[in-house]
Parts: sequence; C-alpha cells; structure tokens
Amino acid sequence: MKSDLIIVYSNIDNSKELSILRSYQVVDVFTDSGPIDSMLIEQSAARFLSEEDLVTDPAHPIFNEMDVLKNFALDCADNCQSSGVRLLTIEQMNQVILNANHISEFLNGLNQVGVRSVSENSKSAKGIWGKIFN
Amino acid sequence: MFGFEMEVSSGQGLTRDDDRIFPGENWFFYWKTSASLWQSKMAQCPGAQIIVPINWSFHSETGESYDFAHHRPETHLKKLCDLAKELGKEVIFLVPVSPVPYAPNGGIPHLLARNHSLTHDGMVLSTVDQEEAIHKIYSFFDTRVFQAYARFIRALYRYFHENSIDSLIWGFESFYLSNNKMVSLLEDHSKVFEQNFARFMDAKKDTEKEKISETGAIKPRPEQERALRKEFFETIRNFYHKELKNIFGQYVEGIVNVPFLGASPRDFLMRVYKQESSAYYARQILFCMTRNTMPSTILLPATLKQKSVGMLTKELIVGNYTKWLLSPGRYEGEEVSLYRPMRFFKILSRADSLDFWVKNGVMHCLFQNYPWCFEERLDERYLFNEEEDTRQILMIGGKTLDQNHLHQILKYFMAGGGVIIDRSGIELNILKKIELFLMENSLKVERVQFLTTIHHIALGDGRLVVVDGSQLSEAKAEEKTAFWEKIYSLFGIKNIHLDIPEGMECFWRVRNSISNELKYEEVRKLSLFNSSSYKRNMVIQLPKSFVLSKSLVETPNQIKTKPGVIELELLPHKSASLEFGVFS
Repeated sequence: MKSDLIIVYSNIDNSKELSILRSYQVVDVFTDSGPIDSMLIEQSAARFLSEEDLVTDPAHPIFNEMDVLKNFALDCADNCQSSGVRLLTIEQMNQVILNANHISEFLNGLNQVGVRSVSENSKSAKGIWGKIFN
Repeated sequence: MFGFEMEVSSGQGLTRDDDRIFPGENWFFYWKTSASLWQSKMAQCPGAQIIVPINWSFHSETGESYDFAHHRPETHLKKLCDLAKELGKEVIFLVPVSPVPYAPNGGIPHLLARNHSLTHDGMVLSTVDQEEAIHKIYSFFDTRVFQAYARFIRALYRYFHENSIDSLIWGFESFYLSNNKMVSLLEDHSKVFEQNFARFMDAKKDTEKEKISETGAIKPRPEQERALRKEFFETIRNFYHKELKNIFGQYVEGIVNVPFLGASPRDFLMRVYKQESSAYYARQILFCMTRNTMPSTILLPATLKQKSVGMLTKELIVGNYTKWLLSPGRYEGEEVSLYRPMRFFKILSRADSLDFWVKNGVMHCLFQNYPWCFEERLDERYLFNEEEDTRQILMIGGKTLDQNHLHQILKYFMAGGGVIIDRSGIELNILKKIELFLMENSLKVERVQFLTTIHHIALGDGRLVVVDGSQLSEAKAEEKTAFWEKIYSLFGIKNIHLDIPEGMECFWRVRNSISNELKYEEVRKLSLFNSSSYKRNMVIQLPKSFVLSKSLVETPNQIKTKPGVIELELLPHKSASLEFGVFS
C-alpha cells in the first residue's frame, strides 16, 4: 500500500450576474512516487464529469462542488492504491514551498497541511484486526 | 565525528566539495569556495574551458551597492581570469538575463526578492538544486528588479572594462523543459505580471485602439489577449536582453538559451521524492541539442550523473558542443577537427503549433531513420546566406510561410539546397507565388499521387517538394513513415540506418576530414549510450560509402567487425563511440 495521495486544487470564482459561483480545479496529483499518470486522473474524473467538461484539460478537471472533488479524490486514491487522500489548496501548497529551504523541510511541511480522507470502501481501510490493534 | 568534514568521492575523480563548486559541464561556482583555492580547484577541472556564471546577488546584496574585489576576494573576477590563464584554461562568462534556478531567490539581491513568480497553475515557481536546497524564483516583471538589473549590468561592465577582462562574455536565459516545450524562467503569472500587463494594455488602448477592440468590446477577445500577453512578455524579455547588449556592446557574443534539467514544476515533485531517472534526462539533453541550446545538468545530484545523463554530458556537451556553440570561429585550425552535431534537416516551426510535425508524421519518421539528426528553429525567420552549406534540407509548414520567407527559401533552393514545404494552412496568395515562380522559371513539376499529391521540382542540385500534410492526418503511423521515407529518398541522404534497441540512445556528429584523411569527404562520429540496466546488442550494416575508421569501445564492452557489418555489445550504463569515414 502506498502513502497518501495528495491533491492540490485551486479555487476559481466565476462571477455570473449577481452571484459568484465557486469551482475547484485540480492542479497537481501526486504520491511519494511523484506525480501520478494523467490517465488515472482522467479515468477518475470521467466518473464524475461529462465528456464535455473534460475536453479542455482532462488532467486538470474542474468540479463545481467540493463534495464531488472529494469523491473524485477518494476514487483516485483507490485507483492508485493509496492509503488515503489529502486535499490541499494551492495557497497551502505555496505556503509549504515558501517555508521550506530544503527538501526535508518541504516534506515535513507537506505532512502537516490539508484535509485527510479515507474511503470506507477503500482497499486500504482497516480490517477488524487493524481496528482492534490500532 | 573526527572534527573535520570528510570529502566523499562522487565519481569522475571529483569530491563532493568539488561537485558543489563544479556542479557540471565545467560551470564554476566561484562564490562557493575561497578565492585562495580557485587555482587548485580550476586545475582539477577537466577540459580547456571554464564556464563562469555571474552571480548578481553575490556582487550586490542590496541591489544598490556592488562588490567587485572591494571587500570579498571571491568577487575578484579579474584574478579568476588571470589564474585560469596561468593554467592554460579559457574563461567564458555567462551573464543572466533571467532568474537562475541554482541560486537563492533565483539569483537576485535579497532586498529585491519581494514578488514570487507563479506558474500557470498559480504555484510558486521553485527549483531544487543538487544539494537538495529549494530556491524560490522571483518575478523579473517587477520594475524595481529591472531597474536594479540595469544598474548592476552597468557596474559589471565598468569593472570588466577597467580591468581589461578580455574573456568571452555571453548572456544566458534560463529555461525548464515541460512536455518538450522550453519554458523561460522569466515566465510569470503573478500579480506583478498582471498589474504591469494591465498598464501595457492601457498604453496599447491609447495607441492602437482599433486593434485591441475591433468589435467595440471593452475587453479584448481571448485570442487577442493571448497575443497581447505574448507581446508584453517578449517586450520585457527584450528589455533585459537589450540592456546587456547595449551596455556591453560588441563584448557580448549573444544570448544563449540554457535549459536546466530537473527545473520544471513537475520535476520539482519528482525530485523531492527522489523519483527522477537518468534516462529521462538523457533524452532531454539530446532534445535540447536539436534546439541549439546549452543543456545543463547542474541541478541534478551527482549520483544520477554517474549514469547515462553523466555519460551524455561528458561525451557530447563538455568540450566540443560547448565550443561549437559558444566560441565558433575562435579556434583557427582546431575548427577543422571540431565535431558539430550532424544535421540533415533544418525544421522551421512555430512555437504555437509544435505538434505540426508530429501530426503529419515527420517526427516519427525522423526518429526512426535519422535520430536527432535535425535542428528545430522556433519562430525564427530563415535568411538565406550565399556562403551557406546547402546540404541541409529545409522543412517548413504552410502557416509559417509569408512572402519574404518564401523568397528566402526559394533562393536556397536555387542555390542547390533541398526544401520541403508542407502546404497545409498556406495562404492562397503564397501558393500562387510558388506557382508563378515555377512558371516564370519554366521549371518542370513532377506530380506523384501517394496518400496525397506530391509536387517535386528539380533545379540542378536543388530539390523542392511540396506536399499537403493535412491529408496525412488520417493515415496510419506506418503509412506516414513510408510516405516521408519516400520523400527523403529524393534527396539522396548518405546515412547509416540504425536499429536502436530500447533503452539506448545515439547521437551523430560530423567534422571535416583532416590532411591524413583526404580520401574521406567527411568524418562522422556515432556515440551510443546504454541508459538501461540490461546488456544491449546492436548490429550495424555499413553502406558502401562508409568505412569504420576508429572505435572507442571500452572493455568490457565488445565490438566485432566483419566486412560491412559491426556487432556491438554494450553493458548497462556504458557508452561507445564509432568514427566513420564517408566517401564521396
């Protein structure tokens, strides 16, 4: 089982008439093996978005709701056999970069930000023995 | 533990400390060691040329005052040149015209480091150097940075002039590679860029009102805005280039593009998790050479450079290629024996449609038959030069052709050169000009139908082939390759076909024959690199006009030669070179 999948996303504010519609664009998806194959991102994104939505930039899908982004993230984590997934905003990621002068500081910083989720259906979810002993 | 720092060897006879000072390709980081050690360090450096990048932030902490041998002896560049001369080495200074990826704050004085550069995705642009330090890049679109840069260049010029430093001086722009695109480290999507772009737009609106807003709309259309952004970017890039060129005048040879391997945002993530591979960077080196740039591995860790990427750098970049690129015409006599990249084709491409030669199948065919034996010129205007060697085949797309361009290309054809035009996207009036040219000169046009209509015109040694590549888009890959092989056969290219096993790379170079090789038209050198972890075997069939004149195959690699056949066995992460004499 691999470590957590990390998904960095940016908030996009679209003004439409008098209201502001917020959407979320995936910027980077990676594990401790580096960026994941863009095909895996496309595969997972295709489960939550229409073909039309994916035409422009399938490796950086845009979701209109945070819940859908979360579901996409969990699906991606399952596909990558990651133990869980952490969602980071681009601002959080930038803060980690700005605070780091060395790779080790960057990795430490990265482990302390973001919202972690684990899928209940995940192959990585703990079994009965895991629940008892942890 | 023992009260002193052990210097651990990182291969190639250099210590880890030397790796910091000489991070690769004979680049010398003079600020990372004491001036008292310069001479002994430079003496260890292999090769006759030492590349010295000027470190702006080292000579000016504030951006206002400068240290050139005033306080710190390590800023005494004149002394550095004198010591190199004593050792019989030549110093080539590189002056940055963009942020650099190997120094803190991208190489700008720390008081000026206020606005981070952002990538297209909004991520802070940062790089990892070979010591695993992270460097954040700051925007060169900040007016204060430009003003301070201009002052620094003046101070640097004064110092060079007053001290009569006569070393070669080049400007250099830093790049990273992203999906076979070269992206300048100048590129920025931060607020500073946006603010200055808005000002640029305002100025444009006043002067070219109708151009920006033909429809009367307040905002320009997206494609107009893209073009304006590009124009603004080029304007600022030119400010930096011009500042260096204007102040240094004839002392600066030009601006060279330096792609730093491992500097892209994607590489950043690969590198923090140590997932980078030598083979990935090895291919990038070869790609950079087709763009006439000076690839640099100085950000990569020494352990990685012990593999194929290090072999390629040592064999191809250090020495010959650097000399060929940075000091052409400076080595009389030596020039003859200098190898240059073998190039059968000069491809004129547009940066906004890089896949043009991929879609019509040209690139695939080139890699199968003439791997890396081409140069690709992006957004460059071709100008015919009467002394030009006409053995290269010019390839140009219809969209790139305008009247002036066509005029230059036809001159090349009339001088005996080969030209291939893929007419897809060509303007009608340009097509008519070609027809008119053929009629006026009563040139016979041979028409062949094969996947598309091929027009073939011969004039003395000159060959002009016009095809419609858009009609090839539906064809299968092998059909496209067969099509282009047929086209190339019209030009009679003398070449040894290679079946390169997976995980191996090759590169061809060429030089003129010297006095004891007069039976040869030229001498070609084939360098082979095994980037894989397995032993690789290759069989090379020699055409009649080629003869193996020299083989540089280190044991335990093996070479067997039979008449017209060479059998080669290459061990993992090893290289070999073969020299061939070419008969006319």
